[in-house]
Amino acid sequence: MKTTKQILKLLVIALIIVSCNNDDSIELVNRDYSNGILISGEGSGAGTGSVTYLSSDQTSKYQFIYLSANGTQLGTYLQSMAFNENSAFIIVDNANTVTMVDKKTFIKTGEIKTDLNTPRFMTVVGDKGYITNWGDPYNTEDDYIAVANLNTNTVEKTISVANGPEQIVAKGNKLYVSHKGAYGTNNVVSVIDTATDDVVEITVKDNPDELLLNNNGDLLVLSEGSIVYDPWPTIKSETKAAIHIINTTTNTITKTIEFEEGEHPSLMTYDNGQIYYYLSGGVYKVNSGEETLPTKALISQSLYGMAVKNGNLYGVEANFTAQSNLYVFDLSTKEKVFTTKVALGASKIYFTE
Amino acid sequence: MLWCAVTLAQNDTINRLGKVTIVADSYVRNNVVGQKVTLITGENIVKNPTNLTETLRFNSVVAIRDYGNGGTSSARFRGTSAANTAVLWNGINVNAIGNGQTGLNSLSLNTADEIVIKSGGGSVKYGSGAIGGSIHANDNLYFHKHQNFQLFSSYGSFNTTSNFFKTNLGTETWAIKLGANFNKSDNDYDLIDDRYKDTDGNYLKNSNGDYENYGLNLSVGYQFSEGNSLSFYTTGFKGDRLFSGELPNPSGANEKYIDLNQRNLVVWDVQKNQFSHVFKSAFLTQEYRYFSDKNNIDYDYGKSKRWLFNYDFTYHLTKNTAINAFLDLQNIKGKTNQISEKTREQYAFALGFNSILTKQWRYNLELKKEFNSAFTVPAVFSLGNNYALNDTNEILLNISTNYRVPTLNDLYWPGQGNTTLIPEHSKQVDVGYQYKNDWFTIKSTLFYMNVDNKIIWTPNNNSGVWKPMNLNESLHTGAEFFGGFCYSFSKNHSVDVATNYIYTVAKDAETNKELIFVPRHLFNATVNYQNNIFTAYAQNLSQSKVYTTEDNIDTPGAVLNAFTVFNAGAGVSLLKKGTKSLHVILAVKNIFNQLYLYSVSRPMPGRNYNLNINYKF
Repeated sequence: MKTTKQILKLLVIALIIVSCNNDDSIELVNRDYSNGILISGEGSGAGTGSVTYLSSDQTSKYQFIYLSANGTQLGTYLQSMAFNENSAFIIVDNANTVTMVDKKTFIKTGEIKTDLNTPRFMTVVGDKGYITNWGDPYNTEDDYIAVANLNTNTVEKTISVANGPEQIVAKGNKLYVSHKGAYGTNNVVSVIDTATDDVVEITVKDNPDELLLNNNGDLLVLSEGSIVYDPWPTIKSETKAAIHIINTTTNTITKTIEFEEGEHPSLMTYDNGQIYYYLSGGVYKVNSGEETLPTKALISQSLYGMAVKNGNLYGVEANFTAQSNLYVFDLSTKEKVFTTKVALGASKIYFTE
Repeated sequence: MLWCAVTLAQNDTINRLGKVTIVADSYVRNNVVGQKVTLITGENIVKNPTNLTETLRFNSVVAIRDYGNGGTSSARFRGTSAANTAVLWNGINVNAIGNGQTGLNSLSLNTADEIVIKSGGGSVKYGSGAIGGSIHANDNLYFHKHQNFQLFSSYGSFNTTSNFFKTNLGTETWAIKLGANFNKSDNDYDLIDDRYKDTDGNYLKNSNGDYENYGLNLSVGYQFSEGNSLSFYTTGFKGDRLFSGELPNPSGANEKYIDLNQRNLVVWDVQKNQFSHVFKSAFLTQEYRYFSDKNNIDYDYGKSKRWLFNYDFTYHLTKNTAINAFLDLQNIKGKTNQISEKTREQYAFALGFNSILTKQWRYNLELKKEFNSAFTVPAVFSLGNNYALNDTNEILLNISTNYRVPTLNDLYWPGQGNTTLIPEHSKQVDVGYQYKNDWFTIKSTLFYMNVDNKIIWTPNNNSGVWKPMNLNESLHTGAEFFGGFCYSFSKNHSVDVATNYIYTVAKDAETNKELIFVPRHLFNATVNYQNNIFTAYAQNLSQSKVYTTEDNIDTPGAVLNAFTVFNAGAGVSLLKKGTKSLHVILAVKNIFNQLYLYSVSRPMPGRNYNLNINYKF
């Protein structure tokens, strides 16, 4: 049977073409990532969360550094990272994990896989890690701070807090937590006493997210304001965004700079007395002593994450189906001085030196 | 040759029976001109009964991307999107209003009399989404004296069980088909990736992957007189599943999903002299409930209701030419917990001309225009040609344009929907060659397709808010091949082979990068041996490497590796008498315990077993 032979031949050819490559293991590399910039990407269906390293002088760049160091993946969505002297902590919300790596080599040293539920951000105080958890994002009653013992990598206890805890910073024996409200909305900053676990709430404008300490030790909070549709596109209610300055001794708001109606800023960073925020395709700068906001953008660029260091603004334009873009702008000339491809769904920029 | 014909699934079993049979979607069964059509029969289904995803993977050229075994699963032909594949139940397009797709694990087709795989566009007949190809499940009604029962039950690894009961009964005037199915699995298989183990060195388990679903369908036909029949089809499905977690921490998952679908259809078919009239009316409901946490009472939902009425009129001008007119009216209502109820009314007209020019040359030309209350739908056409070189060789040509409409989510998603969207639009050419003799069938086709105005969700440059836009254009070229071979040594002693292969190059027209999750090569084959006592088969499925990112970065974090998996089964026939038969088969899936993935961080099951009983009486 000539035809039988032909069919068999075809079968063999097809098998060779799609020759099976079962070797998923990859060659592990040991590099020093301690002097440079880490860009974390959230990941998506196209690939899990990952971290890109860029050297300070921008001459060397490595993608998927956790994968290269460990041969394994982080999962989705890589929400944020936290650091202490020797370790980096990688928080992956859908996977409900915090993965600890050596800060220099990115080799895994441990992980917390239990008692976390949609973890978002973390801060480290001594041998304790404080991790904000949404719980079920639709449930407003199950949100908490997980207190992890970093010697045993277990959650020792949890502290119940208001809906949607997001970013967290520590100052002395106080923790400050912004409550953006998970899938809903919220308007508080929690202050937690780490000695007693007592929680005090400071009411701010709706949807506080970015949270950081300035040079004076004051807390800067970016409230994004909220929009509620009923049903879309009918706006049921809309509130104003604001930058708050909170005195961390008295835990009271000392200054509120409101945005115009309809303006909803999404990113904020701080360097040397200057606040930088991102609003609708532009980066704006305001001196923390000012009472009013600028009307003109410093830089026009669509961004999903940003950070400022040594007179440069680093910004990522996220792409969830391909590599994202990292841009470096010289703040004195406002010019884009460097562009490179970084992690899938890039969202956060950290300086490791 | 009878046995061969059935297992090869390529000859027209219905015509061969020589009895009156009602197939609600008789067009795809008998009248497609110029396009490649293959069949998946009941014999194929029982080899891969776990879910429709598996049935199609091992028996067609459809590439399927799913999120874990049993999870969300969608079919793609020729590198197009999941919303560019139409799924039809007895000729009615059942793609969801919400996302334009049919989840392959949201329905069970185990009791279908056949699943027809039509490659290439078919929007003139089958409407929105029939761009890359269409999948047709048919329940057949036979008007002759018969009573056939089939009971199939399988049980195996991970507590997986698939069961169905099917009966076809009939007289010269009545025909009834009843089908029921039940599928369930703990689906807690080992994720056989050596890199991920627990502290004791054991593999991690697929967690939160349980599923359970039930389906019931009933079809009843009455023949008033020859050429005048009324038939009624109804089906209900309830699927209850959890969505499994992914590596590295599969135990972090806790989502749950429920599907509730109900479909009803009445068909009145009158053929008299040169005239043929087919009236159809259908009412379909679909609902999903998504629980972000399986322990919650609250859930997100989406619901839709669809009424449709259509009338298909054919006038035979001569023995060899016919004109056809088609009217379709639909009322579609959809809502979700985030989108208030939206109604869309649409009507469509189509005209067709069929002609057998010479003994060798058959062609048809069809035109259709749809109007609706929400957006403009382009007029589409299809030109098909079959040219027989001789008794065994045939050349096919099809040129057509097709569309898929924006979904409810695309148009109205709170804060993100875009009401200015227009339908995606495709142009395609298929050139085919088919060969058939008593033992051997080849169906092959070269295709070229351009899909434009593709609806892509993308972050808005200013606000960063994701919105759907009519953005991209993609080009799809390639070739499809079906080969079937069958040889009978004697009446009850035969071997048959069926293989499918598709070569696809699907690229973004602007960036020239390959579309994600589209394998260049996809190949499957089944070899089946049977004699009076023993039966044995082997199957394989091979897929080449796929890129997972649109910039096609070729590193371990951004590709899924090529793989080949093998299944095999062997068993005995305990009874064979007339139409009665009883087979017991032990099947081994993924014999070589191959690690393979269809989506990132979600390995498929390793070697696993099942035992099944197939009783026909």
